[in-house]
Amino acid sequence: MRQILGVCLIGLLMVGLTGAAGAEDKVYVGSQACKDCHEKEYEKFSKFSRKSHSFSNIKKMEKKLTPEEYKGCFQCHTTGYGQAGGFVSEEKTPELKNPGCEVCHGPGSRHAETGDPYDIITQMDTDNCTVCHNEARNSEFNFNPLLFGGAH
Amino acid sequence: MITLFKRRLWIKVLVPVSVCVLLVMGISLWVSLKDQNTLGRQQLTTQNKTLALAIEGGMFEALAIGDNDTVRTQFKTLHDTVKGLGVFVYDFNGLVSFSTDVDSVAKPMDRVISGPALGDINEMMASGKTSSDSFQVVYQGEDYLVKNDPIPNEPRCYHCHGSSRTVLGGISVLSSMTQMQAGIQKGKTKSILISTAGLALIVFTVWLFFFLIVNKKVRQVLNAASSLRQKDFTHEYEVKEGDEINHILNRMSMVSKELKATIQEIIQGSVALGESSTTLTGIAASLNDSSTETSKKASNVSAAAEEMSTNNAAIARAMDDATDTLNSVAAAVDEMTATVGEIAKNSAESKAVIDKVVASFEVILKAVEELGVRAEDVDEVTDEISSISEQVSLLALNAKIEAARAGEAGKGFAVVAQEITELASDTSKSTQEADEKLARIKVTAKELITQVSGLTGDVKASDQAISGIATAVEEQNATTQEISRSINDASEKISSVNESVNQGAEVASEIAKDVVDVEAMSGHVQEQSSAFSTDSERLSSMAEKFSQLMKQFKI
Repeated sequence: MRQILGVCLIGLLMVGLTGAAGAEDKVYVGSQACKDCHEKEYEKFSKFSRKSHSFSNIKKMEKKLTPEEYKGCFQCHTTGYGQAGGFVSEEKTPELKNPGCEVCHGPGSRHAETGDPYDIITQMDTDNCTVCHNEARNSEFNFNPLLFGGAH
Repeated sequence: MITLFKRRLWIKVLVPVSVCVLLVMGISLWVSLKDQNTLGRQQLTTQNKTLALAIEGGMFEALAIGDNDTVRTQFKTLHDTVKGLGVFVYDFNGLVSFSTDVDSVAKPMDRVISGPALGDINEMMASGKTSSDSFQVVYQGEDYLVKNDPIPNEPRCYHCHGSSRTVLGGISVLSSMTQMQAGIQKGKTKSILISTAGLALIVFTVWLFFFLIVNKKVRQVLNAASSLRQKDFTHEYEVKEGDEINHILNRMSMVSKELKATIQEIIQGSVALGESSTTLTGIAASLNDSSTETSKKASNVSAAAEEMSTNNAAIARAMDDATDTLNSVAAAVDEMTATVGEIAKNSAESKAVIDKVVASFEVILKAVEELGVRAEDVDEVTDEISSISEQVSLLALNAKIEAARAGEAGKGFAVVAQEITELASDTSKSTQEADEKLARIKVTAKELITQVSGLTGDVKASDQAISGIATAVEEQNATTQEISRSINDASEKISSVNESVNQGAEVASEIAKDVVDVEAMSGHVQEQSSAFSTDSERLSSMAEKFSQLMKQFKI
């Protein structure tokens, strides 16, 4: 029994190490890439999750903000801003201008290629959300994060 | 109206009372209206501020999630359901973001309001502070009260608006003042009606008070005064202690009694006065007669003195005339003396001139005679020259002959002899001409001697005539000087007489002046006695009238 448990632990450790090494090659591809395989989830997310079309909110405020303030919005109102293959600008990376599937599930280029569930984050908790849905915003706007946003 | 005011005591009291009441009511009404206006503005201000807070809170949730459509819908609903309300939400640039007036969206606030309210918004945008006051503006043709409030950039706003700005914008709520103004107007009308009714009640109360309390007693006073006016002091007034009018009546009764006693004394005095005035009238008449007689006599003396003065004056004038005449004659004599002297002087000068002329004529005569003698001498010389020229001519002829004899050698000499012959001939001719001229000179000299001799005789005759004139003038001069002395004597005598007459006139004038003074004093005494007589008669008449007047009093 102890031997079986030891083998499993080593196996998991190897899988984890393999996954971690592969994550460095992943890039953001946008939610449209998920649509073909996850059509139902995509539609619900797009329809019911307000973050999926929240770039228009910061767009409305663009003229009333300083350029630095406006860029500060990109972290939570785009996908992968400041990361490899992430949002650069509305013109250069229009497919990433709204927070999409990859905000919570991580960059999905490899998953899109392989279809392997291990190539994407499937297990997550609220710690993933507090980057944007921090305590202050929650208390001020009642922006509590919803796991399975849009009931997908 | 003025007549009523003058004749009615209650109106006199009513007018100031009414003025005071009207003044108090007016002030009260003015203060009340002002308070209502202030209160209304305060209510609208509070309402606007509350509305601003409510609207700001209401739209926060929607704006937080970028739901602008919901906010627009809320503003449209507000516009459709609440009348007389305007809400404007604008950014820090003053551009309207949301409004009940859809047409104003995306336009600056200066299109909506102006004046101090707009200045308040600009100040608010700059400093983040706003005035606690509301501002009256005209919006859509009506009066509105606007309250401006800033939208500060609070931490809860940083998520969308960043943190660089202190003010995000503002919210202005406009409430129509029409309803408030209508309410104030209604209150004003009501207050005026109540004031008018109150004033009418006061007028009626005052009139009733006077009718029941004052007028009755005043009538008693009037009756008493009427009796006094008719000089009737026979009435007695019994008045009990009471108000001021009773007091007046009581005093009138006392005055009536005192007057009654006084009038009795006056009547007695007037009788005595009548008697005394009669006596005085007699004295005045006697004094008047005496002064009239004095005046008459003084007038006679004055007339005599005046006549004497007139006569003296006539004598003085005659003597003055005589003096003037003598003076004129003396002046004429003096002038004549001067003229005679001038004539004598001129005669002497003429005589001296004539003497000089006679002497000159004598010199001329001698010169002319000398000229005749000299002419004779020249005549002899010419004769001598003529004789010499004849001899020269003979000598020349001899010389020609001798020259002819000499032949060729005597030719030159013959020429000289010929020249000498011609010279002798010319000399002879000249000598003849000189003789002729001398003969004409001698004739002329004789004529001149004759003429000068005649003139000298005439001048000597004139000299004798002038000498006769000078003698006559000297005699005339002596005569006029004698006349002048006589006139001066006469003039001195007349001056002496004139002085005596003037002294007499001065004395007469002094007498006349004194008499005039006497007459004036007599006239003054007469006037005084006349005035005294008149006064005494007037006094007598007054005493009589006074006695008659006193008889009118009923005592």
